[in-house]
Amino acid sequence: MSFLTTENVHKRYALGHVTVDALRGVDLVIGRGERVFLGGPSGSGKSTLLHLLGGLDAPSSGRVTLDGQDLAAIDDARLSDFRARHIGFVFQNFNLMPVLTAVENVEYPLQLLGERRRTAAARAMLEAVGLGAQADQYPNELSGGQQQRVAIARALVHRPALLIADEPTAALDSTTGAQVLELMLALSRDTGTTLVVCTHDRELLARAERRVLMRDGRIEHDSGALPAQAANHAAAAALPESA
Amino acid sequence: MPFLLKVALRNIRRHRRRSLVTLATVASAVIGIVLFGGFIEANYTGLRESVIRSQYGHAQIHVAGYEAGHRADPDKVRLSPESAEAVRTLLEKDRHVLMSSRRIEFAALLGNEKTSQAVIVRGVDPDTEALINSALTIIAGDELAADDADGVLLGEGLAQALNVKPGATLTMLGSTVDGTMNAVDVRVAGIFRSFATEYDDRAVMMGLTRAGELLGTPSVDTVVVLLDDTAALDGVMERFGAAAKDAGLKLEWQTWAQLASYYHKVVALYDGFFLFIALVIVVVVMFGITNTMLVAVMERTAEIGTLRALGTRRGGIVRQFLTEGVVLGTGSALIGVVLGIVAAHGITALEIMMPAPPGSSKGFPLRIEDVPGLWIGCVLAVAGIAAFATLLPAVRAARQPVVTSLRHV
Ligand SMILES: Nc1ncnc2c1ncn2[C@@H]1O[C@H](COP(=O)(O)OP(=O)(O)OP(=O)(O)O)[C@@H](O)[C@H]1O
Ligand SMILES: [Mg+2]
Repeated sequence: MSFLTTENVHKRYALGHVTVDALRGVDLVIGRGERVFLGGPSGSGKSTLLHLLGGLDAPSSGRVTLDGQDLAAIDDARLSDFRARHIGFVFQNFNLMPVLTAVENVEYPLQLLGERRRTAAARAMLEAVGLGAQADQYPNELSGGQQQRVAIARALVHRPALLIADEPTAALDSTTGAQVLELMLALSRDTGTTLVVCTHDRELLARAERRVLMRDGRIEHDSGALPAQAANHAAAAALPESA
Repeated sequence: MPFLLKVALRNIRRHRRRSLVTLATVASAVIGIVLFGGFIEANYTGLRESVIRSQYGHAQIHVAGYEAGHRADPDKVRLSPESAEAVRTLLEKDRHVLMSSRRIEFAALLGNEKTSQAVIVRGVDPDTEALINSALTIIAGDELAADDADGVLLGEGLAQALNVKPGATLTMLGSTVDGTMNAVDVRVAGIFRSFATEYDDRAVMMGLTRAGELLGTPSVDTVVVLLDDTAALDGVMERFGAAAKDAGLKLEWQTWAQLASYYHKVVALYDGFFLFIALVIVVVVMFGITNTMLVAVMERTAEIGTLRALGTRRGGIVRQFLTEGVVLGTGSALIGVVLGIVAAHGITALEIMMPAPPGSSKGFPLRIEDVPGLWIGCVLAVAGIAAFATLLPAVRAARQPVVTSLRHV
C-alpha cells in the first residue's frame, strides 16, 4: 500500500551560477506504518529527500505524494496546516523552543491544531518518553538525550501519520542515542506511525527493517525492493565508512 | 495568559541586555517628549493666563458695531452707563464670572513743564481692574484706589521717560467727544510692569471718573469679564449671549483668543519646535526598535524554521515577532511616561527660575505641566512605530523558505 511516494524526483539548488543536483531521479514507495532508515555518505542527498518527504521543500521536478496528496499542489498556508496535522519532525539538534518548558514545547503542535485539554495530553506524552518529572523544566535545564526525548514527544503528541527524523542521534553519545532511537521505534510501532529516519550509524542501518542507501542523489540500494535476506548482506558489505 | 504574549515576554526577558538597551532608548525618548511637551504646555498656560490677566480679560463686550466703527468715531459706538450696568448685572449672575469691569481707552499727552509723552490711557474701575490685571506688578507706589480720583499708574518705561516717581503731579491733555481740547491734573500713584515692555513704555491707567471728565462722557468702550476658569469661557458667553438678546441689548464681543494674536504666534512657533523634536525622536525610536527586532529575528532563524516545519503558518511567525516588538516598545514607552511624569513633578517642585522670554519683562519659575493626552499619544505612537519597525524583518523571516531557515545555525 503506497502511503508516501516520490516519482522521479529531482532537486537542484542554485548557488549563484553554480548549481548542485542534490537529487537526480529518486523513486521511492513507502507503505503506511513502515519504518525506513536512510543511509549514505555525506552530501548524498539524505536531508534533501527528507525535506521533500516532509513537505518542507518542493522538488525541482517529479512528484511527492503523501496519502494521495501531491505536496507541491497546495499553497503554503495549506501545506503548513497539512504538516501540522499529519507530520512530526525530529531534528539533529533537538530544536526546542528555549523559552518554553518541556511540557509547553510538547503542547505546541496541539495548540496549532486548536486542541483543548492539551496540557494533559502533553504531560501524558512526556510520561511516555520517561520525562514526567521534567515537564516544567526548560530545555537548557535538560541533558541532550532528555531534550531529544522531549522533541520526540513533541513530534508524536498529535498522532501524526508520518514521523521524519534527520540524524536524531548524531548529537548524542552512542548509548543515549541508542536509547532515544529505541524509544522512537517503540512509540512509532505503538501508534502505527510511518517513520523515515536518516542516519550515519552503520550498526543501526544493519539492523533496520528497511534501509535505503543513497549516493550522489540517487537511491543506490533499497532493501525494501529486494528479497530481505540477500539485501541485508549486500548492503552491509557495500556500506562506506560513516562520515 | 495568551500564548503569543507569554512567548513574547519570555523572549524579552531572555535577551535581557538587548531588551534593556531598547527600553533605555525608547524610555529616554518618551521622557524627553513628556518633559518638553509638558514644558511647552506650561508655557502656553502661563502665557495665556498672563495675556488674559494683564490685558484682555477673558472677553471684552462692546456695543454692536464697535469693532467696525470705533477707529473712525469711538463716541458713536460706546456703551451708555445704563447698558454697561445691564451687561455687568447679566454677567455677574454666572457662577464662573469672578467679576466684570468697565474700560475706556483713548490717546492723550501726558507731561509736565519739562517733557511730555504720547500715551495710551486706559480708564478703569479701580477696584475691579486691579484684580483683572493681577499679572501687572506694581514696582513702586500703590495700586489705583477708588477713593483717589486723581491717581494714575504709569508703565515702567513711561515713568523712566518722564523721569517721575510716585507722588509726582502731571497734566494730561486730550480732546473731548465734542472735539475740544481738555486737560486734567493727575498724580502718579504707582508704577507697574506688565509682561510686554513695549506696552509699559506707553501705558497709563486711571480711574473712570477723571477719564470721563477729560473726554466729557459717562459712556465706556468695553465691559471686560474675568472668569474663574478659562475652560468655562464658551459656556459663559453662550449663556450671556442668550440673556443679552432677551434683554434687548445689542452687543458684540471678542474673546481673549480672538484678541491675543501674540499668543497664537508663540503657540505656532513652539508647536513647530515640538513637531521637529518629535520627528527626530520618532526616527530614534524607529531605529532602536528596528535594530533590536532585526537582531532578534536573525538570531532565531533556526527557531523560525522549526516552527514552520511543525506547521506554523507565515502569519503565525509574523504575529509572534509583532507581539514581541509591540510589547517591548509599549512597555518601554509606559515606563518612559511614568519616569517622565515623576521627573516633571520633581523639576516643577525645584522652582528653578527661567530668564524672561523675548518681549517679556519678567522671569518665571520652570514648570512642567501634566498633559495626559500627550502621554497616551506617546504610548500609542511608540506601539505603532514598534509594529511598523518589526513588521519588515518579521515578514522577511517568515517568507524565507523553511529549509533555508532550518539550515541556519
Ligand atoms: N539549501 C541548499 N542550498 C544549496 N545547496 C544545498 C542546499 N541543501 C543541500 N545542498 C547541497 O545538496 C547536496 C545534498 O545535501 P544534503 O544535505 O541533502 O546531504 P546529506 O546526505 O544530508 O548530507 P549529510 O550526511 O552531511 O547531512 C550537498 O551537496 C549540499 O551541499
Ligand atoms: Mg543531512
